[in-house]
Amino acid sequence: MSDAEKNLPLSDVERDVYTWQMWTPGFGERGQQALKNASVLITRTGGVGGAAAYELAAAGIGRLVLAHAGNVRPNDLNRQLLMTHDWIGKPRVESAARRLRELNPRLEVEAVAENISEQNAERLVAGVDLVVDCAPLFRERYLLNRECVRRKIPLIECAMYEFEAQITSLLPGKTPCLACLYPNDPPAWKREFPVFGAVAGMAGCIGATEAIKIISGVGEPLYGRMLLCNLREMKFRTASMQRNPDCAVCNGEIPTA
Amino acid sequence: MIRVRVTYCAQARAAAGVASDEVQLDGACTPGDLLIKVAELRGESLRRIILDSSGRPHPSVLLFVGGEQVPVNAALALKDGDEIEIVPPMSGG
Repeated sequence: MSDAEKNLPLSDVERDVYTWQMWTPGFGERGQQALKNASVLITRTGGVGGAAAYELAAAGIGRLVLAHAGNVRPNDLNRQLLMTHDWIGKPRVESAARRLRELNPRLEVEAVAENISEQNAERLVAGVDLVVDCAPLFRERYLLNRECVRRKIPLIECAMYEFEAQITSLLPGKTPCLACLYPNDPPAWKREFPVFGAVAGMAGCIGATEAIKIISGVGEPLYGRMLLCNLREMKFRTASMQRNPDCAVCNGEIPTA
Repeated sequence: MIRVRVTYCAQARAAAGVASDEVQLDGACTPGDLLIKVAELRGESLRRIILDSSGRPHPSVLLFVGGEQVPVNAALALKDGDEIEIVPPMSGG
């Protein structure tokens, strides 16, 4: 049973901590309770995913599943705000879980020291209400997309490159899926890319905002739209996105693991 | 003869070496034709990002004409003054 189905009420401490955001029209105690009872998978917890995780933890999400392999390296530290110098050489995902628990001791964190793969995608997506995709490789993103389409749960796509970012929210059956937009693995994308923490963090914060909106039912998510951010020129705009009627993932033609 | 403005985003901007181009088209031209034309104009580094190994427009490049997404193989005739954005996929996380 997912946390959302438990429908746990807010405690007095939670009413106190989240007072200011519960003033938001349309959100209130009902929205806060929805966050408390929600479970979100974030892959990975670097520059983008770390910011998304931090904001969701701060906002009072009930449960986070974090997937990120490897140990903290010095060149993570310009952007991966959940990692610290004293944690260099130790598991990234444990650093992330530790920082999130410091921020919100009520948060339930499942820290998985793995990146998304054929072996774990189905298991990690099972039991969450929503996924925030911050993976730096398209093969991980395609796996998450496939599982979210299969389970019919929202997938928030957060991506950045240098001074630019793209965020969109995908709702299976209603909006394009990732494979509608990118049917083939982009060959030019490289694992390492220019990144400022401020740009990555902005993308993660917008992704967290989308998650809060979708879980609480407030506002208009980026369903069927992509937010295109050019921070070099400070230009922001949204563009409508099209479903691909021949998409193999939407049409259920891609086998699961 | 028509003129269109092409804006390069993210990796395409880095590969093209410029933020945008004013492109002159001699005849009927689809968005896919335009990708091939700007790949010729800006060279190999841009070609690798927007065309596939057969020299055809890569299906995973996002194209916007007048702010609306169109498939790279859309049978759409570009018009004088059209503004086209080339947005390669990004997954920085």
